[in-house]
Amino acid sequence: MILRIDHLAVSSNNFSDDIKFWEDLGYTLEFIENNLKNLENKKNFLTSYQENHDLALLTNPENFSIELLNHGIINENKSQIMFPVFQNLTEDLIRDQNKLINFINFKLREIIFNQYKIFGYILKEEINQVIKFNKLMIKVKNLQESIKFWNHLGFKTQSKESEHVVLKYQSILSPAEYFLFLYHFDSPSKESYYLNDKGFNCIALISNSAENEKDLLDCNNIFTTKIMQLEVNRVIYNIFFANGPSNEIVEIIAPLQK
Amino acid sequence: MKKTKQWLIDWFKSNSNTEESVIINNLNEDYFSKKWINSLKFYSLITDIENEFKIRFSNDDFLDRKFATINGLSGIIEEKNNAE
Repeated sequence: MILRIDHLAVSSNNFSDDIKFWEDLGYTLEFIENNLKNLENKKNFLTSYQENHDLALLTNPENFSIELLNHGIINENKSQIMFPVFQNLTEDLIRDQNKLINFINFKLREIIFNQYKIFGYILKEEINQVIKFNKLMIKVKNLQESIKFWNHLGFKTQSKESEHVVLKYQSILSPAEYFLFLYHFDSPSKESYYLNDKGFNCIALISNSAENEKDLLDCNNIFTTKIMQLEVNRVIYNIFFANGPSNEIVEIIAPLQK
Repeated sequence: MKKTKQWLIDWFKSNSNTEESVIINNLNEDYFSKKWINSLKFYSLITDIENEFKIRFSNDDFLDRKFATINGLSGIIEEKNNAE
C-alpha cells in the first residue's frame, strides 16, 4: 500500500550549490550520505553504473521533498519526461519561454528552470506569494495506460480532457496534496530514461510492503526490478524500481519493520 | 465488542503511550491527530493487520479517511474479511 510520496530525485554534481539553492527556496537539509552503496537493481536505469553514489535529502512541508543524487556522470538526455511545475517562482530563477498552455483549468507558462537548465512550467499566480512545488508534469505516450498506472499507485483522477489529465495524491498521513499533470505527447519511438538524466528523473513513493507493491505492478504487466535492501540515514529499506507506460521511473521504498 | 475492534484497541495500547480507556473514548478520532502513533509505527500497524487478518489493503483503502480512526479501520477490515 502506498503511504506517501517520499521525494523527487534530481541529478546533481554540485551538492553545495544545489543545497543552497533549495534552502533559499525554504527547504531544510535533512541529511547527506556520501559514498553510499549503489543498488545493483539500478543498473538498467543508469547510463553508467558506479559502485557508490552521493545522496542528499531536503524537505519543505507540503512541497515535494527533493533528493539530490550524484551518480558521477549526468546524462544530458535531450528528451525530458518530467517537468517541475512551480508556483510563485521569482523571475531571477527562470528564463521565460513566453509559451502559454491551457491545461484544463490551469494556465501554465513554459520556462527554462535556470538551476538545472531544464524545461518546466509556472502557474500564473498572484505575485508575492510563497513558492510552492507540489505539482509535476509528465509527458506520456498513452494517456489511458498512464492513468491506470498512476491509479494503481494511489493517485486519483481529478479532471480530464482529451490530451490532459490532472491526478491528485493525498495521504491520510498528511494534509499535503500533490498533483501530476499528464500531458499526452506523440513521439515516434519509446524513449529511455535514466536515474542520472539531467533534471528531475524519478518519483519515489513509500509503501508498507515492497513485495505487495511489486506483486500488484507485476500482475498488471508493469516492468519492475528485483527488490534489494539499502541502509540510508540509519534506516534499512527494501527498494525496487518500476517503469511506467512511457518509461517514467518510479522508485518504491519500504522501511523494514524493527 | 467485536474481535477486530478489540484487536485494534489492544494494538494501540501496546504500541502507543495511551491508556486503554482513552483509546476506547476516542474510537472515532483521528489517531494521527491524537499523536498516538507516528508514520513509522503506522507502517507496523498496516503490516500487523494484514498478517493477523490475512487481508491485503489496496491503495484505494488507504485514501479513505475512515482509515484514520479505529472504528473506521475496523469497518474496513471487516468488509475485506466478508468479501474474501
